[in-house]
Amino acid sequence: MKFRVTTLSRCLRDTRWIISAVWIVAASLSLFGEETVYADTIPHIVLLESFKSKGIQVRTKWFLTQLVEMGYHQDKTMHLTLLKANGDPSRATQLLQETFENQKPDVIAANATLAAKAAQDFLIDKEIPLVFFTVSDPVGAGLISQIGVPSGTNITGIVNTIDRKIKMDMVMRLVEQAVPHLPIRMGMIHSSYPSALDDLQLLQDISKKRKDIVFTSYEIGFRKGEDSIHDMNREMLEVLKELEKNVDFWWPPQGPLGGLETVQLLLEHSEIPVAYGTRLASVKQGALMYIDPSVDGVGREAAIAVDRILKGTPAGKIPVSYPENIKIGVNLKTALKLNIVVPSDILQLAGKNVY
Amino acid sequence: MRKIGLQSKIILISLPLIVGGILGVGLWSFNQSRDSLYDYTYRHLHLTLESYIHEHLVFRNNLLKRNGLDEIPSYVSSYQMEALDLAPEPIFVFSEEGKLVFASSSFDKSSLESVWAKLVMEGSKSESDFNQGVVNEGEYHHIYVSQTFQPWGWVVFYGIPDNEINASVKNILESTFTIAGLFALGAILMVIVLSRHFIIKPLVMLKTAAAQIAHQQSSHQIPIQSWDELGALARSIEVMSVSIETYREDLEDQVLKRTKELEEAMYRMKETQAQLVQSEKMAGLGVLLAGVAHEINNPTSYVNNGANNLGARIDKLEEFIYRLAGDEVPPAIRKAIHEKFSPLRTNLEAIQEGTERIKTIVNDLRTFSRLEESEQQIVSIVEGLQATLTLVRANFKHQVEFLTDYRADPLLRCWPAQLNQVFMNLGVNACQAIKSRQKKSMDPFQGQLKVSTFLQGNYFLIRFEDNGCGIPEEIRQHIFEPFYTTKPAGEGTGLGLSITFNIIEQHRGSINVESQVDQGTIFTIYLPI
Repeated sequence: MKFRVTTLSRCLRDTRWIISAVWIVAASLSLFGEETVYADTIPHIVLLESFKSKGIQVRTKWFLTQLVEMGYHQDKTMHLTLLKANGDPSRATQLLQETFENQKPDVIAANATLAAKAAQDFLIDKEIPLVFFTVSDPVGAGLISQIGVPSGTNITGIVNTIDRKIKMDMVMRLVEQAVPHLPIRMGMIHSSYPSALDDLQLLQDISKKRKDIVFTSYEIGFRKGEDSIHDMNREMLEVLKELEKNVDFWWPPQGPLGGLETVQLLLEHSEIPVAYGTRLASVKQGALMYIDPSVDGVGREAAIAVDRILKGTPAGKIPVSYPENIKIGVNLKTALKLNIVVPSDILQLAGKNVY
Repeated sequence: MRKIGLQSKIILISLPLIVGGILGVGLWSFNQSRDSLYDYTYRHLHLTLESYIHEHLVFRNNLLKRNGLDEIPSYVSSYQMEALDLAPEPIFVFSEEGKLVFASSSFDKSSLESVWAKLVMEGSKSESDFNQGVVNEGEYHHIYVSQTFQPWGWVVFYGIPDNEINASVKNILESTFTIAGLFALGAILMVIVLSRHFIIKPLVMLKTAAAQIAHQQSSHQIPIQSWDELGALARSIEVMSVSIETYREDLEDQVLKRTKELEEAMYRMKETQAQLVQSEKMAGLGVLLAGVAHEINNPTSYVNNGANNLGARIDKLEEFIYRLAGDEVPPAIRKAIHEKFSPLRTNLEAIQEGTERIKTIVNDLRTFSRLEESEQQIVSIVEGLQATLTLVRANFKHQVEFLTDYRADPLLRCWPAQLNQVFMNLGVNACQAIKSRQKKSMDPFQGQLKVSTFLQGNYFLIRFEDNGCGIPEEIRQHIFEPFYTTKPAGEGTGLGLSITFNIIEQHRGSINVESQVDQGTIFTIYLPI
């Protein structure tokens, strides 16, 4: 019986994948096909992607999958128009304008910050609801004024991060086992890129309210260009030894200097362990822990918000929320090395993401 | 006991049954509840312990194994402590060797080992990983369950103090007796209410109905609508009431009828008595008259014979005188002689007429006194009636119209001459009454005598019905008495109806008279067939 249930669930999962793939293909084809005049009787959903990125495309896939699972089928129970801004805000606006002239959308879903901002600007004099997702800092981006409450405007969405306080609590449950003193000193070498600064600011705000952790930061100027990250990494290595003296763990920032290459450098050139990784792969590299929204959860929750709007709930009354589904990764080798016992609940939540 | 009411008897009978029954059910319920409570408690303890072991011990052990940490003491002990921190109280964990691993903080650990270690060792002999029982030693009075968790070599005890169970048992006992008492009270009240409604009230109605019937009041509708025995009894009493009323009405009718018959019999008896008195009076008179007639008849015969002889002598004396006078006697002398004899003859005729009248009277008296009885004959009464009426009609044909209606003409054994005399008397009386009315009446009217015959029962009836002057009531009472007459002197003897009455009586019949003044008279003769 257990075998049968397992087999069935696998089949269902496979079926879901197939259906999702079909919808992605169908939605993509609709972009390049002839202009279609949609009937007014079924809702028109516009999905605007910021740029071509694996992380964004994966979330788009789960967004469409959730719509299908809720009974939305292209040209039967909905019209979906997928727009790709390719990293260009003006293109995003143009695509939205063309779509709007062709058929007024009932709701616009914006994947990532660029698309969300472009849609917000386009809809400023229109009463079309906007659902954003894959946006880490919607407050900083000016989309909303506060997370966790309804916006009161025509905007709602799912924040592409979890509450830093939760993140900090979970990391602290591990690292405090390895350090005999308090507060634990977290070191963050960050760029001047806005998301990194916002991340640091939020973490420091929280740490100030508690006495068991402090953040020591070092800022490196953000550079553009293909080799910019290498330049910033080099600068980081130069100051690394000096900074180690006042740090118990490294906490890589969001954005530049939070990627895999930087973490790898930290692990190789510093005797101080990396407590947190901004990517799951960082944990695999050697970072102690990873915790962030699950990509499928963000896409699915955004689709659910779209469904609620289509069923009559005003976007302004749906709270902008952190994602309910999170993904945790733990590096047991690092933990054992540091004599850290990963609590059973964290180990259970990490599931297969234990290295 | 006899003076106790029916409802009290019902309550006295049902009370022990109800109380006994409910107490029995209550005790049974209490035992069931207590056993169920223990079963439930053991199940609850088992489930809680099993759930705890599965969710916390098995889960962590699997997690350790899956991640290859089950050989790392720090992880194992940490996860064990995690699990023990989440343990429900009171819980005691021993190693399979009986060493205390963990206990709820509120217990003394040394005494724990001395008491519970024995159970561990006893449990180790059992094939099952699960055990249950009661500890009642020292400060431990517990109902417990235990389970062995092999991967960590733990025997986990979980239990609750038995005073909690005892308190629950006490609560159940109190609740059971309270509910049983309330049920008993409710049942008694229900018995009272139901018996009053379904038994006592209908019985009171029946009693009232019976009392009404006893007081001769109708009770046709007793307000008992049930279809049970009492309802059937009510219907029966209603039927009985109707029957009794019908019988009473019939009885009253019969009493009235009998009373009427009695009154009629009394009337007839009085009438008969009057007739009997009349008959006796007439009989006495008859005897008297017979004697008188005999005494009168003889001297009257002498007088009559003497008068006849005297008349003959006077005639011979006159002829003698004429002979003495010779044939040459002048007519005047003859006339003078004749005139001398005329008063003698007149007086003699008067004597003779008087004696004739005396003879008639005596003859009538004889008839009246049955002096003229002869042999009875079987004859047609109507035949004699017709002959008699023929004679009467001859004398009154100008004043009276004769109508006859002979519906019956039986042959009867009788004295025909006497009956003819009856018919004659009645016929003549009727005609004279008509003439009398005709004389008095200012307007002439047709006199009418209707004579009819018919049968009625065992009697042959002859009816004389005239429209004459009628007989006043005061006279009618005396008409059958002898010598009672309303006719002028010399026209009647007053014996006619007396004779008539006697003749009819002699025939064992009767005569009845009905009359209204100036309307007419009906004489009806009843002759037995």
